[in-house]
Amino acid sequence: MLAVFLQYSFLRYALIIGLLVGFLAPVLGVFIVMRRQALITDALSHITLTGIAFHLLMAQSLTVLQPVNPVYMGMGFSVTGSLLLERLRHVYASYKELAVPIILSSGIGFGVVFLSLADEFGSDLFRYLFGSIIAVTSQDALVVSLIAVIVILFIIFFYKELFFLSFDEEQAKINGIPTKTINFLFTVIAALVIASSIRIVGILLVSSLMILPVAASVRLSKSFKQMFVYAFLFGELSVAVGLLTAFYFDVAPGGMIALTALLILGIVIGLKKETH
Amino acid sequence: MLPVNQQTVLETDNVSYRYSKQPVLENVSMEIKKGSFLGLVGPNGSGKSTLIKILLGLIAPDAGEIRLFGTPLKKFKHWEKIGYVSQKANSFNSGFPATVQEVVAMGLYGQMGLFRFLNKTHKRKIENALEQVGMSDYKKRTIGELSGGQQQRVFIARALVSEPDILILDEPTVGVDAQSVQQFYTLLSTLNIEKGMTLLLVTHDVGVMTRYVSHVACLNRILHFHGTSEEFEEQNLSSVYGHDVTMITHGHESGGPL
Repeated sequence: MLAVFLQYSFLRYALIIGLLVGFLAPVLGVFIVMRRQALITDALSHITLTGIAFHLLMAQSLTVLQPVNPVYMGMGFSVTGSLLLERLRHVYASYKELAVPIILSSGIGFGVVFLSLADEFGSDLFRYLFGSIIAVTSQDALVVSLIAVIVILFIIFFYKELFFLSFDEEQAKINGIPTKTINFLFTVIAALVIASSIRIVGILLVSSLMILPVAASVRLSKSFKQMFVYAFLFGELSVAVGLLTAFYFDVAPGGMIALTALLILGIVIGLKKETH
Repeated sequence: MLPVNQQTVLETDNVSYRYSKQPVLENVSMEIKKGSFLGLVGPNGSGKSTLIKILLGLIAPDAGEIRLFGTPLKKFKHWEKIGYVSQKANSFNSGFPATVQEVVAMGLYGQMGLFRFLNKTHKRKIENALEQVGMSDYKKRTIGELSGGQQQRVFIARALVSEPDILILDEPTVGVDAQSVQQFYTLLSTLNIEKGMTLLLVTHDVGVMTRYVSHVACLNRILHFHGTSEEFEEQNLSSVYGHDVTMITHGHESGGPL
């Protein structure tokens, strides 16, 4: 089964990207969930859509943009959106959760207008929304690999700061942790991972890969380090099973990945009934 | 009572703070000498927690100055000298999957600096801190599994692990059972008398506290009293209430009529 899959280079690249985001997304997800910011992933993935839509619109008049993957523009928008989101969280200090729907709805609003103007409500859009394993290039795989290296180094070097911030941001600040800088870097990194995952999982289902493996992991983990082990395992399992089944049943990979992650979560909840 | 050195660890000079035009603190001038144990008391909403936040640099006062170890707050860099156990420490996300060891390690992160990893010396410090609070046997347990009193000790260990010169505790006994409160005060007393640790304890529980502290500050927007605990007891007995303070606070705590 795997042999057939690996015959085609685009599927190989899809698998490489899939397995990379299969651990990047849930590992970042651990920090996001522990900070009770699970919805941030949706806001950032929707702003990525805006970037993609903007690229598609611009590419109609600017031919230089045509050979470029629209996801890069999406990444740029996602990073910018993440910075706006941090700003909004300060503007609404006592209603921090407002920042998410503001970014999310403006992302969709602009995205839909750009897509309408570009007349792009076709199969392309479907690919961006739900993921695709078609036409993945070696360049895509290379970019995601580079992002993976950056993210891994970031997590290794900032692990203790990220951990402290997730547990108790105020105390971290008192203890002299540069919370603003770390928060800023973390949001940028999250935006990069979200944009990388979109190729395979799709905008609407990025959060499933970032959040569901962590939701399963939190029920089993006895320490913070274990959170990563389980999140990693569940994330990779979801991507591997999801991609293969998506290929054989010819359905959008995002859907199968989300369903696999959901199945794992269901089993874990069933096994351990105590509340968290 | 403990001999108190002359070095001032912490000092506020005419500090005032307003929240939405409502004065919360007015001209508060207070100091803590090295080796002393100051109980900062006042009813709920008296500005105690606000004062602590100002001392820790979390919010800026509208007027006045704060000096930490003789340095103005704005220029103060040695935050590892200050251990802090917040009121909120107990209301953390109790499902958070972190072991006692992991939680205590956090206390070292600030002074370790960026791009540094835990080494053997750090691990020994963690062991020592847990030993000081009597929680060594629980280091592999997750923090959420522990009782309120045990979690309290872990958070104190986290504050102690960086070997601070002063420990600030904000309403640490809220939500902790009576027996644990007793053990908690014994622990603070040991730290103060045997280790010479300077302590600042914020509490609304006047009764128990006066038996352990060396100095008392009474805050209710303005500082009503600032002196030694003996002076405090004398003044209370003679002028304020005319009878034992302990009785009153205990009656109040149990919810009965005063």
